Amino acid sequence: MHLVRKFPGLGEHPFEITSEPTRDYNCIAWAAGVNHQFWWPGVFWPKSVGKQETRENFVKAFGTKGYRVCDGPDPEEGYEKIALYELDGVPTHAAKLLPDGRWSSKLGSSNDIAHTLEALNGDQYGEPVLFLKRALQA
Amino acid sequence: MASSAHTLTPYVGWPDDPPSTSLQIDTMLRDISGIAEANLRTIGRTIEAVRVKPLFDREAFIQHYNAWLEASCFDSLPVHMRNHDSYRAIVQMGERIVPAIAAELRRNPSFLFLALEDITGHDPVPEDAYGNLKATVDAWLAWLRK
Repeated sequence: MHLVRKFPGLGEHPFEITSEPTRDYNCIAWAAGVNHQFWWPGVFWPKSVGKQETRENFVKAFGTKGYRVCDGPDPEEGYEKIALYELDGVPTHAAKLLPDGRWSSKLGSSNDIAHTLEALNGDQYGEPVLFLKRALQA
Repeated sequence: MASSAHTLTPYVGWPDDPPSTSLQIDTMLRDISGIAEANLRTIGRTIEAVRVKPLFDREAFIQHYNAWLEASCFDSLPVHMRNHDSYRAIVQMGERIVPAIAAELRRNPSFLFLALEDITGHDPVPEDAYGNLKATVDAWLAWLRK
């Protein structure tokens, strides 16, 4: 399967495809709760945030949606969380925590999947380096 | 180069009325082709040598495009999308490939618009279309029609 070739961890951890492929949005937008835009510096990016692909700018971008850096990935009552992935010090991907403890990722222009946090670690996205949270939206 | 010493055969089969049936058209084209080949032989040329070459290799473009789509489908980073041999091969085809890119984008919007940026040096996408692939591609197609 194409996904498992790209993400070998998906062959070792259970995952579920939860959407058809679409180019309407990407991982950063999806994690930020947006499903009609493709968020990336140089594509669409909050005006108040610098366009360099740095961890600081991604934290600020998620900050425009109310997210703040937190201690770790563990679920916290009343909060939703995001994991930011980096490869070689450059942000590559974000996933959001689902109520059932799995993580939800939009894979570029491909599918949404539900997966374990470790399942996407590897050459494509690197690994999670930072976690953010915000109070659950009413 | 043809010399005036050569005796070439003119085509004398032009009908008074344009050919209207496929048989008439086929016959006319066959006759013209035969005379053209004979005249080329007379001046030491071959039909292959004078055949107009296509502006670009469409098959190569489609192969590169499909390879790039597959390789970049999990990427969000434009720099990663651009950092692919097939993407670079498409950009190196230059302005002659722009109509083929436009045709592909019209059929199926994709990040191939990045190649239009790199080939033309323009970015006609209005700010309110940023992040919206369909609106981005529409802006490019409108710009290319001008």
